[in-house]
Amino acid sequence: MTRRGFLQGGLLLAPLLAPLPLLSLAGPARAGQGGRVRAESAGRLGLAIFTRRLGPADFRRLIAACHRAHNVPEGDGPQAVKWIWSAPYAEAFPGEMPEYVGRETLQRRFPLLCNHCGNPVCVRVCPTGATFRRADGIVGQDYSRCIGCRSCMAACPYGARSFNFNSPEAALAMSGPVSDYPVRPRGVVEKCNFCVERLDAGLAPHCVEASDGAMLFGDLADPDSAVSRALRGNLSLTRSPGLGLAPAVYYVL
Amino acid sequence: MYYRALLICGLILGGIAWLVLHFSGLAASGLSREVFWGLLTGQAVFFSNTGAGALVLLLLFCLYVRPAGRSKPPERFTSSCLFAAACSLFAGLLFMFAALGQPRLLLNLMLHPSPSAMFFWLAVLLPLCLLLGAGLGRTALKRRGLRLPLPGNFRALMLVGLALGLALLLAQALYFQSFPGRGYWQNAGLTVRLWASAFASGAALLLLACRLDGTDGAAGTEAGGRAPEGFFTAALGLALLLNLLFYFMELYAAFYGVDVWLARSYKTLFLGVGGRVYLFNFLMWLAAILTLGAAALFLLPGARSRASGKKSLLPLILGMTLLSGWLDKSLALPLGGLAPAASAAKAGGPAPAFYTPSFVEIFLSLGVWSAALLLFLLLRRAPAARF
Repeated sequence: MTRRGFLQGGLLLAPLLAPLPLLSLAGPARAGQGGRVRAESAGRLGLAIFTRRLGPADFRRLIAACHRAHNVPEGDGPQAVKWIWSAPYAEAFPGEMPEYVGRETLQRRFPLLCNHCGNPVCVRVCPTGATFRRADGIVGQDYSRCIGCRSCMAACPYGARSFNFNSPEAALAMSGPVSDYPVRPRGVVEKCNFCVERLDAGLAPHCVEASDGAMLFGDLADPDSAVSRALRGNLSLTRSPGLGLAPAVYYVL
Repeated sequence: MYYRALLICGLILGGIAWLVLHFSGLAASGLSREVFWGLLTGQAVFFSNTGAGALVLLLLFCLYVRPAGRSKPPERFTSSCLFAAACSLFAGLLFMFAALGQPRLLLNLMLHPSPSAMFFWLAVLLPLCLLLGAGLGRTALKRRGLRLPLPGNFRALMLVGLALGLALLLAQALYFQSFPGRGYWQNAGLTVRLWASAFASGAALLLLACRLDGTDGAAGTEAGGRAPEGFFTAALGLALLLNLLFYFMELYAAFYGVDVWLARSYKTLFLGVGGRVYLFNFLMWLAAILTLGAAALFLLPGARSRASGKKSLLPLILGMTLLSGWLDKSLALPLGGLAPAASAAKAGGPAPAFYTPSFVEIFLSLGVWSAALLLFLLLRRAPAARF
């Protein structure tokens, strides 16, 4: 066999080898399933937000608490990374704005974050399994597995996912010391993780702690949890419920 | 020879642009939080779509319309058309790679395969179609040089290529159906438009390849078969008209039967965002005019024929089809799908920054086009004498 023939044969054989990795599907190690995670025993973690009780100062406080703890650089440019942010009614509930509304509707702001959907399409469309749903309902993200294709961002109608256009390190170095949470590289997607790292230590998420009682965190599936009781007793909304994604973040009006 | 030097310059320029883009982590692109797919992702769709369409059309012709003879050497158009399809797929693959945020982690696709994700299938099928198209083309070229008929397994491999090409088109259509709340993508009409566009642009690409290398003219038609050009032209026309029909359907549904989100996509594409007009708004009008013009010229009797000494308008139709397809896929597709989120996000506020491609993205595109053309030149070089 000539060298040329050998190389050409190899090139033609290569396609046959491509599906081989599928064999590893027989017993793959699933992301985020390992280890002892105390919160995973919960049925469906979710959030109830008393929107009337949150003012501009509260938003600043709880956004800063989250972003500082998770090493999210400050800034509000078009390429900014956001885990939690605030928005008016028209952005929070797109398509739900009537023609004539009062000042209160126009001015009230709502905290927006990942909804940790019961039916998360972002998990389904991820080509590497970098985003996954845990037994307790938290939708997590494995930063070292993400290849940055941004399919999950297209699949998220809530705009809850951010792409690291820039390397966050430079921006973080300017704003002071970084926390223990891993700093993400540029080119990967990230989002709110309901503070899994704190739940393991038995603590509530940063935003809930900073909200001064305006946000309740707990198991939506447990009828006796504070969240469930709050939702039973009040009129509440979720974002775009018609899409059928079953968001776990509820807005009490 | 000078054009080869020009292509290599383009390649170097594109390589530098890729390095800039990669080491700035896409910050050097015109992309943003809301508009996270732009020119690069759009061109990945266009070139893989066109390449797959061309591959499918050519293999359909060679397998069913006028099967390649078992005793005669392959005709000239077989290899040049296969190379054109392969080069388009190659450009698609390069754009797909260039648009990734973490290309260094690409092998995670193989380490952690997710068959439920359509992106995974795109990443698997695209290189497969490329290798098969290039391999079949080289074999056909070699056999032609030796004046030998095609090898016995060629037909089976053509069938595999046909299946893979159709699978790639299917995976692409399914990919855009996966995104809830994005009406511009998530409607079944987009599937028809993607396939119609694949066959229109694919046929245009094949016809260009036929013109470049020439077909064997009457050699095949003697046996009572059809000339490849006739088949490709018919496919182009039908696909063009089908695309237009579904485009009209979407506009009707958006504005007559009130579909707020679809209407917002079209308004963003053609009129701009929040009173601000962008470069791509003009390009959208150009694309619409080109598509309508190509369809009108196609339907004009005699415009396509070379008969009675009149000049054929076919090259013009080909150019218009390819350019309008390119604009529609590489700008309208990503921007139309991402538009509603952007405009809803800033309702009542100042005009948001939408999307204009940065110079880095444009130079990178030049580099990818050069790379694809260089591959074309490389593939169609005559095989060594000893074969």
